[in-house]
Amino acid sequence: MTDLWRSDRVVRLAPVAAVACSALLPLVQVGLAFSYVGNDVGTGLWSLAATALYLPPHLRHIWYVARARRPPLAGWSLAGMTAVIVGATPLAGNSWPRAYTALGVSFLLVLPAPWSYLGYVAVVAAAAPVAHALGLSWAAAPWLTFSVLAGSAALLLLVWPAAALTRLRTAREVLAQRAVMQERRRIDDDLRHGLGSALESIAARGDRAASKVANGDPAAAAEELTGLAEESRRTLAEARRRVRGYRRPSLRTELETAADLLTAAGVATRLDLPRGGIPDTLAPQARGALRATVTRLLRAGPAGTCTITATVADGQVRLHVRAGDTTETIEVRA
Amino acid sequence: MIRVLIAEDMHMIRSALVALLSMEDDMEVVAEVERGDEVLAAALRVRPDVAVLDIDMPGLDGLSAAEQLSGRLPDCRTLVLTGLSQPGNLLRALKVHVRGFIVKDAPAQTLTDGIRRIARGERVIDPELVAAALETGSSPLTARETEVLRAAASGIRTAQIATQISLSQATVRNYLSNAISKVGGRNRIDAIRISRDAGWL
Repeated sequence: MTDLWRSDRVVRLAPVAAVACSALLPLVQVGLAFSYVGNDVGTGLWSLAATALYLPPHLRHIWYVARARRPPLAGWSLAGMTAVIVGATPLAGNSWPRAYTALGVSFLLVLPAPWSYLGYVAVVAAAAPVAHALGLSWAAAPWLTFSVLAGSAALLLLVWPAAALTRLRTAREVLAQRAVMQERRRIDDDLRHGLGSALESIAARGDRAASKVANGDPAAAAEELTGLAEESRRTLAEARRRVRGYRRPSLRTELETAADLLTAAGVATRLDLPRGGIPDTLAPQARGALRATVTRLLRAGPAGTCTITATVADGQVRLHVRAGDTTETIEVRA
Repeated sequence: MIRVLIAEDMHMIRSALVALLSMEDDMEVVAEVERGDEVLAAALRVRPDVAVLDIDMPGLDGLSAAEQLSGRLPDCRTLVLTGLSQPGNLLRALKVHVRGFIVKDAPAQTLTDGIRRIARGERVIDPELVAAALETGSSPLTARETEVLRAAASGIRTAQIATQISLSQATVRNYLSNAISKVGGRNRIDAIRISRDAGWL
């Protein structure tokens, strides 16, 4: 349960982390626009203004996609963002093409394939020539391309897993709901066909007893009520059997508990299980036989020892319950 | 004649049990008490052959009372009346030498037969209870974790638990955290509920 809570927290925090990192990169870019070689206060201010315009729609794309949702009117916000980044290119300094990182990421997040890939490749390919045209040397321009590639990869590695986590959680919830529905249907069928008819019979017997009392036949009414009490007990036992059928502990848990119960009852019990493991499930007949044996040993009292050995031969698992001189063998069919 | 002590906190049920056992020729109810912490004193006074104890009683629960009886009056055999809702109690009952463990909704005949068999030295355990106990499994908690969770179940704060069982508060928190994780609870209250339902506390 704690693990589930932790994973739930990770799912909730992952989009926040993706948005925070996506905001950090453009802010570094603005700093460079003020201070990088060939830039001045003017380019810095243009960079600041353009970033203030394109960053909100970009973060909006990240926020929605990281939560596995498509942002509403995403085409329009992407168009606006593209216009701002492309429009600011001649004004915001030679390091501005680094902002193409955000554009490339938004292309991949918003546009459908193959347009998203084409847009991304075009943006990455344009970064170096544009930077060179703005005054960056050919020696430095390829590094800018690398910066766009690495930056976009880092952001996508934050966004896509966050979206995958959200989808996984949603899928898990859907599966859990389906399982609950199936189980409810099964229980409903069980109750209607099994216990339902037994309870109807009890009600009918009650009615018959009441009418016999009303007709002044107490002996017949008493007989009917005695039958009703017996049937009620049988129904209660049946209800318990059914409830037990819904809870199926593993064979290992059942054997360990049996050993604990017997030891607590004064029957020193050893459990020998094969190294290769034992099946998780136990057929109802084998389960019943094991329980009957444990009950018999518990009733027998605090004397002697008991060894429960599980063996696997030819794919067949057998339980050997040895108490005193007698050994009982139970075939386990999973 | 089998001398029987009855401990049951609900007056109507206690009276019904006394009336039921008084109808048997070979049984005599020699004492009836309504609190778990009165069981030992009454048993030492009247020396019954069999003590029939309800599992939930004020003052002291039936299993703790059985433990006291086993230590101070080993000749007195105990039979505990329980519900199927707390199957883990069977393990604890066997550890404190309870000879009989019968569900409360069993027919009256089962109780009288059970008392006779226990008096003869046999052990009486309802197969339904064994099945329920095997399904529930043993308690995943260590003795210390059980002790800390039981103290928390009484409603006292961590600092008081630490003082009560001579541990630091950090250690108590650690034990509580382990217990919550082991029983699959969402928090302390949930862990107490799960453990109580299973009969592990």
